[in-house]
Amino acid sequence: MTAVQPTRGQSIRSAVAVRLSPVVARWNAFAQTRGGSVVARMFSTNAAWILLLLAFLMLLFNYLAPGKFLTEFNVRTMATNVSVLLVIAVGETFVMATGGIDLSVGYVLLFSGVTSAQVMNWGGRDSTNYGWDIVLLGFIVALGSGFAWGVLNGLIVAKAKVPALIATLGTLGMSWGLAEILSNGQDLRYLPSIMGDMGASRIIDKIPLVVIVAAIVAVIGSIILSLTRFGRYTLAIGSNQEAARRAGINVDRHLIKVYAMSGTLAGFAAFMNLAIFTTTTISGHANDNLQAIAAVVIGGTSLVGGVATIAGTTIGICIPMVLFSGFTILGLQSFWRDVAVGAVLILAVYTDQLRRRRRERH
Amino acid sequence: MRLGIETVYQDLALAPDLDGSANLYLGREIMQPGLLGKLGFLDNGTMRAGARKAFGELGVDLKNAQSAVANLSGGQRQSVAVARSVAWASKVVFLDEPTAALGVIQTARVLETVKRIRDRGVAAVLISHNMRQVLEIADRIEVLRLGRRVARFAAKDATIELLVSAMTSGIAEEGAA
Amino acid sequence: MRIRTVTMLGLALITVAACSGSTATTASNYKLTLIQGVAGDPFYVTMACGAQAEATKEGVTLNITGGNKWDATVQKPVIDSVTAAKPDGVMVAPDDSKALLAPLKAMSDAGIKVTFVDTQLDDTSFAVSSIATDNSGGGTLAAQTLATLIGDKGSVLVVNVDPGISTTDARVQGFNDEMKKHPNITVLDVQYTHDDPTAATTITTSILAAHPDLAGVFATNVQNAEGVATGLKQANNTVVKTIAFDAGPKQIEDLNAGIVQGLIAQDPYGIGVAGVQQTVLALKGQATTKTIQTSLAALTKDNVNNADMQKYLYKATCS
Repeated sequence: MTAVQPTRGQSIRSAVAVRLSPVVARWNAFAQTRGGSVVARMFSTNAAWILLLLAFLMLLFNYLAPGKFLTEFNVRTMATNVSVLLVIAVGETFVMATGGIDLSVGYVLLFSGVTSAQVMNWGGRDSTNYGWDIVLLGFIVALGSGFAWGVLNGLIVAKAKVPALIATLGTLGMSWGLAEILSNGQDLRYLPSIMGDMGASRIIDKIPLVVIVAAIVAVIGSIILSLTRFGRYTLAIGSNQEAARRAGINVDRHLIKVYAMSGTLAGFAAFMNLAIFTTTTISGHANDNLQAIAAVVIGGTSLVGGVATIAGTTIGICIPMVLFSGFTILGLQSFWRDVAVGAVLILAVYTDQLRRRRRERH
Repeated sequence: MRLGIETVYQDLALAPDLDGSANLYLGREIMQPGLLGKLGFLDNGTMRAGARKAFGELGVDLKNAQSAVANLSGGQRQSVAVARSVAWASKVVFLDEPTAALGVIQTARVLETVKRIRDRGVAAVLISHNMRQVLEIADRIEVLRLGRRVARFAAKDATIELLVSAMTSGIAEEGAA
Repeated sequence: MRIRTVTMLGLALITVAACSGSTATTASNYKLTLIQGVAGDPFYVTMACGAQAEATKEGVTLNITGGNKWDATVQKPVIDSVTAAKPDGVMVAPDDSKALLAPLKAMSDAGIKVTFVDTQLDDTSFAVSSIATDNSGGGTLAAQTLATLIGDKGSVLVVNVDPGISTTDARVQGFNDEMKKHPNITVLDVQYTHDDPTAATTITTSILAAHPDLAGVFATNVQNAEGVATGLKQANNTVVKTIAFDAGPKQIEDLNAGIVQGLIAQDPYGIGVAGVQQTVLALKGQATTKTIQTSLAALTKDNVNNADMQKYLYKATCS
């Protein structure tokens, strides 16, 4: 029997493999050690890889636009402009970790902003000079509105067994419509001025308050997801809902809690949005849901649930914004931004799939 | 469920993205002591130690204890499922076709485990259509046909022919139980 | 590496060429940016054409950008990024007169000269100049033209974009004020489309179904005009007279085809030119004009081909 001749590609690959084998051996040895295994595990997550991608993009834009991209001003405004979306994306991460999806977030945000602004302006009075008690009331109303829509989503998905895609598509329409009805299609443009001050304020004169708030939400979300029973049940349900049920977990109740969380965070984000823009911006937020989902997926959360990190989501949120800002600063045509973000999304999911497939082969 | 009866399902009912320890304690997590525990914080350290012990007792060797269960071989996954039932069962463990998808070595390991369950004083009910396997490890055999028990044998009295005839025709003698 | 090298070489060459032997008029290589209200809209494309022509004439570089939706939350990151890019001057059409005060004030505070083109903020104090059409007058003209077309009686519908946009608000205000003088005309509740032509189509067909005696429609911008025309075509209606604001290529076609009866055309090209002029004046430290109103024209089938009307026809590309 004659031996099969190796192809050109195969011989190149094997030559490279031979060269690299001592390096690989050293790495394996390192990975067996205590500290080494932590590092190895970190790099097996998608979060590490997209962090590298983010760093690369930032360095690239800094190179192409020196003194303009990596300035304090631009980093600060980029961070501010993702803060609202990050809060939404934290909630979306939990929902997608269960294998579900929440399309209603952008419009629940609008609805919550409208109800909050209207309550603060109750009786048609101009609330510009109102104090913190009214602002607190507005905050509670925003959270409550989001919570209500979230519970509704949870009930439809868990009890009525409507697929999450359809259920949240329905509540998307309902919340948008109700927001339009309540506001008469008109932006509410009068808010307590202290809210606008809050939206623009900075800690130690450098870091915007909204960025810190969003960061705190992300950190709390990360702790919940990775260290608490609530987080574990969320991932278990996404990984194998039937197994979770058989293990005695009340899946229905947990799903309702997760969707309620997503809705409440949309309400929270609505309040932040009011503070930043000082109007209800009802013509906006149409794509918040897709942007949040893209961020969650770029960050390594599986589309079918079971695997999710908030760290990944946070990095996933930053990448489109970095592309957006870099492209605009470089003066490239606006529509290319969307092309780039779409390409990154596909690339990120593709590399994650590759990694998963390689893992399963071992 | 908390009555001391556990089941190993044919599809294993494991959460593939969680690790062995998380699967073992699924639904019965150990919380951190004190206030942290009330807030819902898990005591992963204790659970991992407990998992190491439980797996060790059953001879299950998970090289990377924190790897997702999906990364394990079929046999190892089976062992995790069995270990989970064994760890929590105080009275009975039901095993539904536990070796259906396994290779020779893994099958042997699972059967070993079933014997250890019995040795620990917990009753093991093995559901199988593999007659040789049944004869090998059972103490008592119940034959079901069309949902009804049609025969009962003490293992030492049973042969494959007897079992098959009981299964197919429903005619058999009741051996000494 | 290559891009940077080429750019550096290019700049070096230009600098050398500019310095050597030119008794130059101005060696002002000011960098200006135009932030459109929304990218791709023929109105803003034409404005960009005018701005670019003037920029070339004055020897300044012009960068054109904009969000792909009329949305303050989309325009804010654009404004912030443009500020970070540190141009010398910016002409901007803000998507919301209040929500974008903060980022535009920050731009002005950074030392960049800000000029409002078309739309503006409620607070124009820090701007070099505000250049817009007399939108209120345009609304009045539209009302008068429509009233004549429908025989001064019947119900009319206003299809608007969103509240809070200074230009369209002024048009509707002018329209309503004029219609008050026509007692036999009923103005129905104004409808909002969020700048979405499909919404305008749906609204038109629904209102037609609810008010079969509808006599006239006033569409406040290009997107709405497109949607209304589609809606009327879908309903096979040739009775309703439509006056639309803005004269994009599609609207001119509709005008010639008789689907739309009148177009109130602005002069976006002129706005773009004036925007660049005012910004450059400010950069040179010279006096600027705080408010400039550019002209309007009522286009009908009869006069659309006249030579003096050509500048009012919007373009889809600057060729």
